[in-house]
Amino acid sequence: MPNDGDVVLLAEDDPDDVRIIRRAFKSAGINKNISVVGDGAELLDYLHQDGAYKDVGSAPKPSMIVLDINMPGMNGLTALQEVKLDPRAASIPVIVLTTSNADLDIKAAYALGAASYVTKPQDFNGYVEASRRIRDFWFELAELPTVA
Amino acid sequence: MDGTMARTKFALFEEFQHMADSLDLGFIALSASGDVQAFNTAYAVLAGIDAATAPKDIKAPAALGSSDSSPIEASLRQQDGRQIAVRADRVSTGANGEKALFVREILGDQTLQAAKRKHEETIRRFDILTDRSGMGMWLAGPDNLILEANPAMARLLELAGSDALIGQDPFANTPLDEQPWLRESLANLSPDGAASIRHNLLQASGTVIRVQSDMTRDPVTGGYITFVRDVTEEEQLVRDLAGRNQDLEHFSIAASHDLREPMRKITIYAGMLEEDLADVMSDTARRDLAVISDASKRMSALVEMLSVYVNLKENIGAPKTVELVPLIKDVMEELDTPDGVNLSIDAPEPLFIDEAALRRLCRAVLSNCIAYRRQDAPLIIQAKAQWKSADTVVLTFTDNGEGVPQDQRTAVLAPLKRLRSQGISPGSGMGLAICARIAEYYGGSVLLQASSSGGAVVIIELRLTRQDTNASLNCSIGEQDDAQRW
Repeated sequence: MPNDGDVVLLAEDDPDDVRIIRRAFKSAGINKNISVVGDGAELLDYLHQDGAYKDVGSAPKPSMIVLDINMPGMNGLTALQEVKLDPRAASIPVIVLTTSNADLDIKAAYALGAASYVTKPQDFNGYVEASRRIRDFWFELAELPTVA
Repeated sequence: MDGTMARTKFALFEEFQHMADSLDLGFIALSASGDVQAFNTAYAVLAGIDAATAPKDIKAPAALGSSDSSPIEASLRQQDGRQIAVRADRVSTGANGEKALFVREILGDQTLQAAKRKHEETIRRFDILTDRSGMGMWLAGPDNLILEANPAMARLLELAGSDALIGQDPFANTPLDEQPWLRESLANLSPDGAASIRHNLLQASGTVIRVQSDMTRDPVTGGYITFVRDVTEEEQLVRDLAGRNQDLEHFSIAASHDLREPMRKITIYAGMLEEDLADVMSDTARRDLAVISDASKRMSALVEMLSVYVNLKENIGAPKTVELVPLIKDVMEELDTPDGVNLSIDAPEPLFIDEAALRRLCRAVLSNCIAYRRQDAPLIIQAKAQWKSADTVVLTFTDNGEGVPQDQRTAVLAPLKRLRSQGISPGSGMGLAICARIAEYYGGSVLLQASSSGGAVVIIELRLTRQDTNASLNCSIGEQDDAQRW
């Protein structure tokens, strides 16, 4: 089991996209474990160590959340709102990664406390490049809060 | 009469004259000795004289000047010799015995009959006209009782004939007593006495239909006339259309997301495959994979452009003041512009338009200028904005490229029409179609012509609110941006 802080929590319902993101992160040299949840409700269960994540060690605390917006059940924006209202999780940076480039979604995401908003690239090289930039900024330049 | 009094009298006469004229009532002012001081147009008609005749040049019947009683009946001899009976009501008597009277013709039985026949004929013609259009009509007096109704109105109510409606109070009697809309429409009469409402109408069979009633109050009689038309089918069509639009909207949402999503994955997985097999893949396999990837990207772009096209009008935002010169330069920076392009922009006035729509429009035209440029000469583009009228601006883009063959100048404005195959020139074939749609939104059009060098001239007319109304219509007087070389 990875330790707290070694994990990027990915909220993404599409397994094909999960594969792409895992691979792009790896190609970009992001040496973090990626835990995956399929919708907003599961994301909250993970953060609250509830539901399927009750067992000790089954949900190591993430240093970052990568969040899709369009998910079944509780969508990404609602989940983002819940995360930012929870004092235990509010300081975790949330990067929205979605196909939507609607102005309404972008504004809502930032208003709800997203750290950044990235539209899913259209090709694999684009994914790798976006992942490199995420690595450079979030894991090399920026200081992240200590994960307790 | 001293001067001041004469002027006061004159003003009073003027007022009487206008008032009487508006009521088609003759007016005449006489001195104590019976000389005519003033008269109005309606009196001139009664007396059969020219309204421009000076008062002193006409004579009024002696009875009008001599009698002190009111009303007075007198005989008025018209210029053609015909005598008509008139009745005069004294409205003013001056200190010196001068009189002002309203005069109207006393209609004999024969005249009354003729007037009634004329009225009936008018109503009959009106009935025919409204009936032909299937429009119901009913006319009520100030007591709300129906005076007239046409056959179409009876048909709307499923009554045997319109006679059944005459004399009825539409607010009290069946089958109209179940029509609360009548009260509603009267309550909604605007200050000028008009109301237009849509409401249910109960037919004799119990069927409820939708109708539009346009009511107008007659300020003179206090009654009102109402035109009623069946809008049941029209409203159903509007509902159907709204449903279809919703279906289309759902489709376009699906197109913009669900259809693009698999395309995106094909592109990405082709890229992953290429990376996985980089060391073992043949050049042919690499080329084939690139074709898959390109085709999928193109398909994705095409679906996006189709989605833009379908939803364009709904997505055009509020207008704001936009400077065309920096916008065009910005678009050129964004495009894959070849070296040595000579661009001149003549647009001295800002436009009041949605910036995103204008940007999309310029981008579509300019990308075509670049895509269809000649290979043997530097590309020259001239952009110009000129006000054709107070509310119409004409944007003209002229280039020295390959031009558009005359027989294709209309066809290329339709979606997915391209001048060349994909392999020769990239593009979705949606650019000019989107231009045409934007122009259509702004009440204008797009026209293609040939330039003097054989290139294309794209003329886009847009109806916009002009910001600087003091500016000259001829933009060539305005400041011209220096030609810019890329």
